[in-house]
Amino acid sequence: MDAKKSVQNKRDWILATLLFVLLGGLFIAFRLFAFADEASLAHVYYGNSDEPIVTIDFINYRVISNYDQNVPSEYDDIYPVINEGQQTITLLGDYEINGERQIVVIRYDYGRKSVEIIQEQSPNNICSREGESTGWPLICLPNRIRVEFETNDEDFTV
Amino acid sequence: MKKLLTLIFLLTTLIGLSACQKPETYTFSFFDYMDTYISINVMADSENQANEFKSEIESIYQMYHVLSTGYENLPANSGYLQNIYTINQQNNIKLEIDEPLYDLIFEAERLRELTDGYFDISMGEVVSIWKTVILDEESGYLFQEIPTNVFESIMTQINAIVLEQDVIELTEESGKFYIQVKSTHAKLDLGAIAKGYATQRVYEYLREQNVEYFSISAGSSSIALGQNPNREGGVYNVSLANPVRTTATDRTYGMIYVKDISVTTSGNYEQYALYNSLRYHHIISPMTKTPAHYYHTLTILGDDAGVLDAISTALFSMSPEIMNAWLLEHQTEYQFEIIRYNYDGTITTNLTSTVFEENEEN
Repeated sequence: MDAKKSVQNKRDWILATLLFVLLGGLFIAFRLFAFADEASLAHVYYGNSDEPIVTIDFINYRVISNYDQNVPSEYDDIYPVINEGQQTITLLGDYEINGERQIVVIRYDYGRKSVEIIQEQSPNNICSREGESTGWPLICLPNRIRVEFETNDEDFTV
Repeated sequence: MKKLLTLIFLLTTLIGLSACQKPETYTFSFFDYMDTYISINVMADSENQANEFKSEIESIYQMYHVLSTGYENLPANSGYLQNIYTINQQNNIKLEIDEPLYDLIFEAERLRELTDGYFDISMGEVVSIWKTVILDEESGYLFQEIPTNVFESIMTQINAIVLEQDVIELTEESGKFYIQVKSTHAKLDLGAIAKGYATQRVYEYLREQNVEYFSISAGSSSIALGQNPNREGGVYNVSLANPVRTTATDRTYGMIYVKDISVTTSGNYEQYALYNSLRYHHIISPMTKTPAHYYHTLTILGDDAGVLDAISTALFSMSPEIMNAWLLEHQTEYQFEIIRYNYDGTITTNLTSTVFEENEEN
């Protein structure tokens, strides 16, 4: 009886290991190949809106502020804050510390066609720990800010 | 034992192969030269090699930036003899200049002759007036209608300027290079050639290094291309900017598929002011001293980014009849290919081998 249980345990371990390797492989393949094409645009969204608040145009090297973020009057700054020298976009996130909403700073790179969240406050800092993205979306929760890429079939515009 | 040896062999091979360094694409960008964003993608065998490329390429753009600017004096201890700014302060004086600047101005003068005077670097005074009208932060009318009294005042100023012929005298004596601007008022402006010329030097440098896969993007108007490592056949898909875009979805009007070539676009859509519904832009015809209104954009393909920069500027001021006659004479020799977005919204192509696809919605 014990010998049979031991064989079953062994099989369970083998099955678990196989599943782990398979899922790990699929995850790596997804990250490597699913977003292999270079992005031409990256859209930054806040909240539930489907209208991007900022669009980064990697083809024409410009950042387009589509509209101002709607923030309560007690916050003095107007968001988004676009700093072309530093190549950053700053929005006001939803996460609060001592009752004050915290900023989310996004850095973009035209040459690398990439975006990275370089500053944000949240319990696990998941979106800033994602690092530099050239295709996979960056989702900042509970700040409710997300970056999504758009890939067109073009390398340059002249 | 045999199995063990096979295993060791396989492992050694695997480790050996993984140690081989695969060429990778490296990207670097420059913001500080020629008022433009320059982005280079280049395939290199190692990071060290990529850094060498970057350093050399930056030094090329930096040198031509310093030599060709008409807005800044030479930096202290630059090591250069003169730049366009200092030359413009010393008309009618014979000045020794550095060989790279001499070569650049020599090429500009060659292109003036080639274009029957439609490309002319000695009309800086006129260009400066139009740039102020369009771009000046306080008095400019970027994307706005120029008031009639302002426009009439500009035309009075422009008409008072007499453009003289053959004002640039270049001489070489005992290995030294000289320039004399033989005019009391003419100003040189290399804005329509320096960026393309520097880009061509970078292109030639990468070719000398046997780099096959690369792209050089000097602003939104000029690119020099090797082959694309990410597409079949090494092709780059280059879209053409729509000069009359009205929405976010009509950003481009067509696409060309190219490799091992340079592409330059001159256009009236990025910086202009309006008068009587016509766009007054920064490309000034030496024949009329005003911007021409034949085309919205003119895209030219060829093998020399410097030549393309100047030629696209010249062709932009030619009427279709003059341009067609000019092309008949020179297109075969220089193997130019041209796509025009005409002022009336039609598109004219003079292509020999490049495939152009117009967007379906146009």
